[in-house]
Amino acid sequence: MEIKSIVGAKLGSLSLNRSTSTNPFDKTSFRGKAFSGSVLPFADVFQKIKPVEQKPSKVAMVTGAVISAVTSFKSRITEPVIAFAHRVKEGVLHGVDAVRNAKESAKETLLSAKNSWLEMQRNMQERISQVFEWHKTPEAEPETGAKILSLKHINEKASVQDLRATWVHENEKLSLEEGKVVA
Amino acid sequence: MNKAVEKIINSLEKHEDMESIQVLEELGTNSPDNEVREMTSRALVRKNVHDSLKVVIINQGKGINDLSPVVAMSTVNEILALDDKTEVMKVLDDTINMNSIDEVRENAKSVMSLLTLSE
Repeated sequence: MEIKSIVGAKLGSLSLNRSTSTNPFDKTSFRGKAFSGSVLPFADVFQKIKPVEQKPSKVAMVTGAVISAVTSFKSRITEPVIAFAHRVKEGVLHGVDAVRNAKESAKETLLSAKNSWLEMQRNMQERISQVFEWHKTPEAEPETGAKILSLKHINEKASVQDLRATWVHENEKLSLEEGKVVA
Repeated sequence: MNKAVEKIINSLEKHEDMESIQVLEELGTNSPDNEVREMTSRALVRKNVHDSLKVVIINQGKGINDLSPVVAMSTVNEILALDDKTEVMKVLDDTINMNSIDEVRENAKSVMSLLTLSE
């Protein structure tokens, strides 16, 4: 009996403390303590603010116009100048290339002329020596009577003695040359 | 090789005088120059007469028996390239049967075998 009475009393006190109101300033809130602070009047009222009308400043407009004019003038002036500078630069580069090419071609021409001149000289020397070779009289070999033949006269119509003498002579010449090289 | 010597060897090869073989043997096959020896041996083979073929087949250190393999092989090639091989077969046969030097006989046998195979 006692337990039941205690439980019943506790439950009764709990049901009394529970707040069913949504008002935060209800007397039952904060365990019976009422809010005693100041409340802002018209706290949830929004006031309409009129936008400030800015009058366009004439000075600023003039300044802007001047700046844009200057900028456009600058771009109008500088672009052709840059283009002109590019053209001049390209022209100069082309000129340099042309001069370089001309120099190289002149060098090549000179070189080829020099080569042809040298070749001509060599050919002339060869021809002169050939003519001398052809008109050279065969040298007589005193011991056997055989002749040393020139390159032109070495053929199957020449006598075997002459061919032999020429071969011996060539061998001697070769051995002499080899001796010179060794020395 | 010396141009004059080359022309002399070619002239002696075509020469009808049989003395040309002696000159070729004396100055050509005894030359210290491999090129001269090679050219002389080929000229002697191309002459295709008994005396010239004898020089390059039966002599030790000459023609097919040359110490230089280039000269020896060049001579063998020239023998194989001959149109008429009758004379060379005779000389080879005589060498195989009668030569006193074993090496020369063996070389002659080898060339004979090559000739038989190539026919």
